[in-house]
Amino acid sequence: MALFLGNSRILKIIDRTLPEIFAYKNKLNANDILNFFHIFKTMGIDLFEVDSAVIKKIDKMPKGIDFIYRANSEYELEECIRKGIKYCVVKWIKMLNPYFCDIILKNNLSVTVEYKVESIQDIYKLDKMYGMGKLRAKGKLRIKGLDRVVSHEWIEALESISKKYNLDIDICPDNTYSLASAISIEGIMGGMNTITGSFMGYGRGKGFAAIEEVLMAIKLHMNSKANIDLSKLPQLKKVFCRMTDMVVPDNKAVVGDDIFKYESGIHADGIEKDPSTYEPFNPKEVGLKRELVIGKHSGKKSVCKKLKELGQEADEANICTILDMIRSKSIEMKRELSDNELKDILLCSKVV
Amino acid sequence: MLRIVDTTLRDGEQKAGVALSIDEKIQIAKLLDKAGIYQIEAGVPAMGGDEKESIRRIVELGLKSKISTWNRINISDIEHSVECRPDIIHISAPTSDIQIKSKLRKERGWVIDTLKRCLCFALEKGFEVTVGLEDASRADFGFLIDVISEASKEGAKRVRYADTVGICYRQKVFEEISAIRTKIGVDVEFHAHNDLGMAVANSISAYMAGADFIDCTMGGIGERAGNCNYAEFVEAAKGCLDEWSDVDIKNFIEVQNSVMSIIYKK
Repeated sequence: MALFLGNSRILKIIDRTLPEIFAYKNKLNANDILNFFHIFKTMGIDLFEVDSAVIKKIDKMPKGIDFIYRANSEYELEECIRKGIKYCVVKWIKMLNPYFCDIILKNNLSVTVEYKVESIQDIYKLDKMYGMGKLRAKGKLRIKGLDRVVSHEWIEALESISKKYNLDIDICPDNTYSLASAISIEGIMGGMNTITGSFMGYGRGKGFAAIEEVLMAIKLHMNSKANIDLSKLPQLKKVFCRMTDMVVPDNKAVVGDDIFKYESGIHADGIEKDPSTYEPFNPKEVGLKRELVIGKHSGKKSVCKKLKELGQEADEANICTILDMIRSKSIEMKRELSDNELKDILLCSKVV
Repeated sequence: MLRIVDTTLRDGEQKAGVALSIDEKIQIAKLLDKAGIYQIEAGVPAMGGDEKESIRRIVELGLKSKISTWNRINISDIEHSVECRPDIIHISAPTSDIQIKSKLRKERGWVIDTLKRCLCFALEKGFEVTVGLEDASRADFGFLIDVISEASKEGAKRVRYADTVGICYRQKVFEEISAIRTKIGVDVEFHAHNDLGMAVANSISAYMAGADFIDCTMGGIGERAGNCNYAEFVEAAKGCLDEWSDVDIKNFIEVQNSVMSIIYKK
């Protein structure tokens, strides 16, 4: 299910989360794996990267899901063929091995050759290698890394290679310097038509581009009509956490539990009048809800609103006392206050 | 020259559920100063009470880092700041139509007039003043330039381009910051939010475009998905721009960890 970006542009997205999870953990539940594929596919993923370890865990290849198999040996290539997977991804060095190349060619596999670059200078080296015929890929070229690429010149450099050698290019930025999602969206805006990343950027080292961040950026900046439905992200996160035993930070972009919690008086006032003043997108788009919480930074209006929600009413004359009590309690507890704590404060304020 | 403006004690503390005492804010300010942070945004004096007291006491420490306070565009807020005697008074002016119309229920002209009045007031009191361009990334760029131009004429030397809802991407950051630098020539500070996971990338891009002042928070805490993470930004600047080439990233991570242990201590 490729994404339509308008002007006849199609974007393909490849997810490589599973082999990364298997790099650390191999006791995974097959149902979780299949659920992960099915839910993520609804968001626009075209291909799921798998490797030998993932395939061993899935008894039967699921229908309706397309895979790209990471092959490191002739034996693994044969497994890819046996399982009926049409796409494979291999490191460029493997293409120097004629036996390896022969298996790919004879079996008509669609191959993506992965080549790691860190900077724009490395992209020019790649041009030389193609010129010397060291890379015999006829399929796609995946540019992995781009770790230290900070100017947009990289897009032109890759486009010139793509045209010169008639290659489709897939970019898979590494997140070494926290730039991967930004590079992916920059590439898509610059005309790249395939990107590879992972859910929440999960992966060895510092991981990859977080696909959900890239999808949301496409929605906001490129084509709001693109059929991207991210409302099942909470379910996807749940399955992912079960597989990885990971606790997702509450402020993780796009998927964090608390990203739509608001407390400060200024923000509460703005959101009350029009949520778009302080929200980048509607929480419902990512399956979340906005929530007003009461704490040290709350203002009078927020406290009155919250009390009203709780079926309570604050006396106008008492509101400053209530606010002072809220601030002291919040500092003491080092957190926002619960509804019951707020009700207790209201009660005490009447006594004071 | 790249300078960090740390806003852990203002935007960082605005993360829902974070609440710091006066002593904790002072401890954090000391750690930031020791780490060589250029400027510490210490809080919002208009909140009054403990918040104002903590800012006053941070100023009294006489740290090497410059201490700044955050204010809305109203004289009353600035009066609270003046009482705290910070090194810098920051005045934040909403610049997008969403903010101006929906939140303030005002027009663009009102923003410029009020900002000029506030600027004059703070400058006359003898303070260095920086102007915040709240929600700049969603503002009409022509209007943004008008605001900066008027602020500059009134005497503001630095403006803060705020990507308030964290939706900017690096090409846009680069183009707009470059244009501000070329057209007006004021110093530019960049304030990122991480809603699309691009706060570090956008901040690097802003610096490359000429924004010498970059806002960060420890651990990247802040409203919603947070702000630009200090340690991650330093690592990226070191790895991609050859800035801080002689520093050990471990020292930056240690400072960040010490601050985080104060914020999240049970």
